[in-house]
Amino acid sequence: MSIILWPVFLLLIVAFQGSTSNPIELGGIRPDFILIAVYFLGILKGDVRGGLIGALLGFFLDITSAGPVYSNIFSKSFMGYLAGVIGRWVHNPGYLLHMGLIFLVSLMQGLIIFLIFSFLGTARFPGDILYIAFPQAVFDGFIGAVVYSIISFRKKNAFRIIN
Amino acid sequence: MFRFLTLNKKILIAFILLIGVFVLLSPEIKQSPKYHVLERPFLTVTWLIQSGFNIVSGGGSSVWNGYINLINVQEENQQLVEEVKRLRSEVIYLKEKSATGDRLMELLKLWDTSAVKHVAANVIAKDPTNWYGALVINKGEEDGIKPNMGVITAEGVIGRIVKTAPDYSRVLLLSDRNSAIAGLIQRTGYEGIAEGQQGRVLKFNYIMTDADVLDNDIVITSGTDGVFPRGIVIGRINKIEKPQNRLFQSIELIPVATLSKVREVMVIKSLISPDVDRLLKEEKEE
Repeated sequence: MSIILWPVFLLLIVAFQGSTSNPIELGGIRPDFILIAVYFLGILKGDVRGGLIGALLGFFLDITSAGPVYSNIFSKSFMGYLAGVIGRWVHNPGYLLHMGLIFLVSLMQGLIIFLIFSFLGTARFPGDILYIAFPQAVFDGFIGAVVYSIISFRKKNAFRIIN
Repeated sequence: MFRFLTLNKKILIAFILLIGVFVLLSPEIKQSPKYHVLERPFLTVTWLIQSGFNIVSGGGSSVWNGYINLINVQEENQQLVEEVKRLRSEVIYLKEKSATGDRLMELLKLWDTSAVKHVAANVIAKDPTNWYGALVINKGEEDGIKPNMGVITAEGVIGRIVKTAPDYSRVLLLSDRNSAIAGLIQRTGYEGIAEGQQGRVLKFNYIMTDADVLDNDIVITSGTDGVFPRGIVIGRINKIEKPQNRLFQSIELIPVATLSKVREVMVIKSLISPDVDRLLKEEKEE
């Protein structure tokens, strides 16, 4: 993708994530499309680029979110880097493995946010884990598997060529 | 793009430094009541795209609802005609009640809460994460909106303004973990604080264990926080626990307003009573 299309694509993801027209919601929980995008970009583009794109998307997310600190820059860049490392070691995984990995990555991100809340004194245990982090991780895993199926259907060799 | 960044290392370094500046300044930027000048360009572009999404999805749903999905319309129309007839008779009855109320208020010199000034606004975005409860509305400083103004709908309380820009503002929902609103139980008058839990229920704190509280009691704003006038519905009591050897009851509230589906809101611009307003004007004229 060109220098113009990439920022437009990233901007569209951030805008869609916070849009009131986003219909994908279950019991008040929305999947984190930005995390899913960072995961796949990390898998496909490698750890450094995954980390960089994660930092950029995390930064955009922090600007639009009501969070008290810029926490997503750290969590998303770490997730992008982690996805790059996963991509290097796991070759040609199926949708079930991606579902499991995205579930774990999302749960890890939830735990990072929970730790930040604990530090700020506003965490609720076990409510934050049981009613936000865990359902979101399940949802992210499911949506991630769908995204994987779409990418591999559109581009047969997308997940075979890794660095 | 990545090749471009590899070739232009200076841009990459400048970007990393910019992120570093944001991170270092983050608590100051995030907790400021006004959007930072560095945040605004990105936010403006994002919210323009989100407004576009809203227009497209609004158009799509209006085509679907107006031209395609017309099953049961005739039956619904008949029901609505009956409803209008019933409501007309109710309006006549309530007009008489309202006139009586006005006379009594005049007699008692009470402050009429309906005299509070409002600004109507549309919701253009919601918080992108599941961890915070916030909305963005399409009215800002140019419409006289300032931080800490109350936000309501016809159903009840929604939240309060926490951050403003010239043409948009952020609303912290009453369900957010950082939200607290002074309220009272309508039936008995016991005062407490409704606090968000980042879920579908709120906590209603500081109600003594011997206080008379029942399930389904309505909690309204008490007006003591200077953000909301007295009498706007916050929620309905859902669960009551009276722990042994504790000073306060543990009470859960369900908000009356549907926070996840809200599309239009009203911002309370002025809480000054007409009498105080008149005195201030007189003082200015002198």
